[in-house]
Amino acid sequence: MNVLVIGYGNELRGDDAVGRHIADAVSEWGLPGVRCLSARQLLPEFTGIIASAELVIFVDARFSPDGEPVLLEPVELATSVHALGHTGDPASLLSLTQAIHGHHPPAWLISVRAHDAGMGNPLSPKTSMAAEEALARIAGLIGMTRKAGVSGL
Amino acid sequence: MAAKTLTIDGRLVSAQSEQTVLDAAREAGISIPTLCHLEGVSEVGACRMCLVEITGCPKLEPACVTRVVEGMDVRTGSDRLHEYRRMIVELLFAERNHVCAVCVANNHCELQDLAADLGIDHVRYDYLFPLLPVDISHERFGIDHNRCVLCTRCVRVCDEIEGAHTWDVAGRGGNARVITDLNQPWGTAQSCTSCGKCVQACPTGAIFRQGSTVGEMERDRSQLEFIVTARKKKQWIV
Amino acid sequence: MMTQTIVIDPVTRVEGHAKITIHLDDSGQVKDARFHVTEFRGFERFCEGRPLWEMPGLTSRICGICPVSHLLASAKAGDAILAVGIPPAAEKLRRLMNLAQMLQSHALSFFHLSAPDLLLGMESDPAKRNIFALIAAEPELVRSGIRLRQFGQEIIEQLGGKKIHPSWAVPGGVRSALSGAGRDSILARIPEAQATVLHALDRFKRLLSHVKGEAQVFGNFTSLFLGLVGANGNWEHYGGHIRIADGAGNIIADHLDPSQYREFIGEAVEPWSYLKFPYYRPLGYPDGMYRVGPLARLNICTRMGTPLAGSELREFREQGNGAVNSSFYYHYARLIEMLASVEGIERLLDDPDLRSRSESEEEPLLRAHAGINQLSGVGVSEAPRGTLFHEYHVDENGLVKSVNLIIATGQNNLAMNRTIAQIARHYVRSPRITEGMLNRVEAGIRAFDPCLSCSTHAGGMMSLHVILLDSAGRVLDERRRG
Repeated sequence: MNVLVIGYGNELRGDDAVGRHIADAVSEWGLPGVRCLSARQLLPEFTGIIASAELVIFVDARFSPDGEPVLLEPVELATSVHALGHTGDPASLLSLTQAIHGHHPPAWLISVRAHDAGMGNPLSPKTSMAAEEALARIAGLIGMTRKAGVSGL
Repeated sequence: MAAKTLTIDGRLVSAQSEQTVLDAAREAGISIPTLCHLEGVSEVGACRMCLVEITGCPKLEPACVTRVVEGMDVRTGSDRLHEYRRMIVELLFAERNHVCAVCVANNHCELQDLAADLGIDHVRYDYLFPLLPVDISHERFGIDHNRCVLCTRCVRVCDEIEGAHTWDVAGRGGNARVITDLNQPWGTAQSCTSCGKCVQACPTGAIFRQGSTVGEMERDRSQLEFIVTARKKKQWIV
Repeated sequence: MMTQTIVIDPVTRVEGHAKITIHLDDSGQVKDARFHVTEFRGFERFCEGRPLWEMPGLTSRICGICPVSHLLASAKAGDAILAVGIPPAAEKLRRLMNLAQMLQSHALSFFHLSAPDLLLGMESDPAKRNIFALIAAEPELVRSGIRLRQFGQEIIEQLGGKKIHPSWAVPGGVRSALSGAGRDSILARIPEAQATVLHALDRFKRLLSHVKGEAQVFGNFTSLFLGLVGANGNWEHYGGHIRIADGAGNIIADHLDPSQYREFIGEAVEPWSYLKFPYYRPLGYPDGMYRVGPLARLNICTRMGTPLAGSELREFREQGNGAVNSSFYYHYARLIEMLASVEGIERLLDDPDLRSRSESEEEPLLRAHAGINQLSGVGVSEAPRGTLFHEYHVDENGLVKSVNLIIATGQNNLAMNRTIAQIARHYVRSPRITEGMLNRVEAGIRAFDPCLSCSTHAGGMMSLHVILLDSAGRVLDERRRG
């Protein structure tokens, strides 16, 4: 079993970095076969480690005026790419992996609702609470994959 | 000096009668988290990190200032204690502006270590975001009140080891601040001998060497212990 | 005149977009185009009250796209305030990191963002004109591009370490040297990197005759060009002085002291954008429009200073008359700069001043120590996108009182608007935004490789939002993409 957790955001921008906090927390669980990456943003060179994983969990902040504190959704292959940016989103990164390596692992995006992206601010209380829920969801995802891995042997 | 026998976390431990529970536990290899405690200077029991449960005692006691008693039964790591310690550290984070990512002590910080040890990945309290100054008027050192946890280690090393008593605490409650001399810029504090003991003592990035950049502020506490041992025991052990 | 209320959304990485308005005149002809930045980040205020020494660590976190550029400009502003000359090894190590940054940024811009347009054709369906289609068509080209970018990243990590690189460069120098093993690992990858760039250059040059049409209208106008050049007028990315050339290639100002930028650069403001509009003071606003970045650096320099890139520069200059004026050739310039970066990296690795530490050797001198000797300082370096200015004012103890940053995308602001207007004029045939026009506007902006993540919350992720307006300001059509 080989799970990759990628949390991304800017650590100077409050809730924007919630994905990174979560990736760090998962890393502290010290689970064998679980690799965590905390990054400022998604970069095309991640395709290599994505291709070698059996499950990828992207964790990002979501700035929206409403919606669930934590959303879990499967990442589908992208049909188009952001035209101007130097950063990627999970779907296009997954597609890039597929295109380069000929395969891609199943991937999930956990988006945690963000409330405050002020310079130098810590995680807001609401987003902190949501982060706990996100961690529980990740534990569930990893657990399910492990069971599937065992039964598949 | 009579030896006392007590129980810590179910283990029988013997200790000197004048020892504190903290000392006895550490000698027995039982670790109790601390923050204001610093080897070589007096205890103040200010931070409450080392609170322990003692059978028959209705309240929690700080291990650093509680003397051992014959037959004492101490617990250092219950769920209740863990929750209180967690709360204390979270409140410290909420009280001032600790931006670890750009702090000079990042990855060399006792507050950060405590948070990690206690499994704190978020703070449940509202941050106060106080407007606090940075004083870098001293030629060699600086203090950023945003990162101060009021442990008073600087006050004690300056008074008890250096004998200068440049540092003290002014104000009460949320307005408390460590100050130099008569609450004046550090660079103008005439009692300061620029010895740097406070820099070695500070557990966070609050007191730092001038010119330090992110994550660069490492301390050498053994220097303080060396001086104290040399003075008290006349032993110059490096 | 009616009052407009601008509502500023909590724009973020997720929602960042480039809003472009195209304005028609009474006869329905394109009069003007505007690239809007409707949000202000307030980064400068965050820095106020912090010790000078923290600034490189703070400013390099402004932007995830070019942290190294801000790191170096900030450290240089710090050098100026300490009033020190930094140790030679430190300067060369900083140069090495900047070249690596240039290489990795240009590699992404070319192989991921621009190559699909260039190699698959502008007319092709946008759903099939992207990096995935390009991988299907030319897998090896894209893979080698990704490796090239990794190569640049690896150098940055060899120098700064994965963890500390946001504060590796400090006022007075750098924090650590390059290890012997790190040097060897970089050296071993030079031949492949060079082959990748040469191959891409070759591909691009074979396309040139097919894209003459685009080159004619993709921001093809005369303007000033501004950037750093070395003491001998050579291509420069870290030190030297500022040179300004006009659209005919004449040097109109040279040996300008970058720290005196306020004397020759003015910053205009417009009500519709939070991004300022820098201009060359002697010509006024907006006539003092200038371009920065790869195209500008190649237009102003006397020589590249390295053999392979040098001969490419001579060939490049055949595309223009005195200066190469079409913004389309930013792509070409970027390729030549990648080559210069690879050559420069190789040369620096052989430099005895850089002599890396090994277990037995002592570290070279890396850091000058000094107190506050000036109350203000300017640090200038060439970021991949163009000249970057950091100006700090501090009190006598070194606490930051004010900060002014001039970023590359801001300096290209006027030229980007002009480019969009030119493209729109050529492709707008009706009061509708057509697919073909949208493609070209997008490609036109991409030539500048703009990045706003230091001035807005949009961490480099930009989708496109184009609005076509008639002379009375009524919306005729609106299209979004990305």
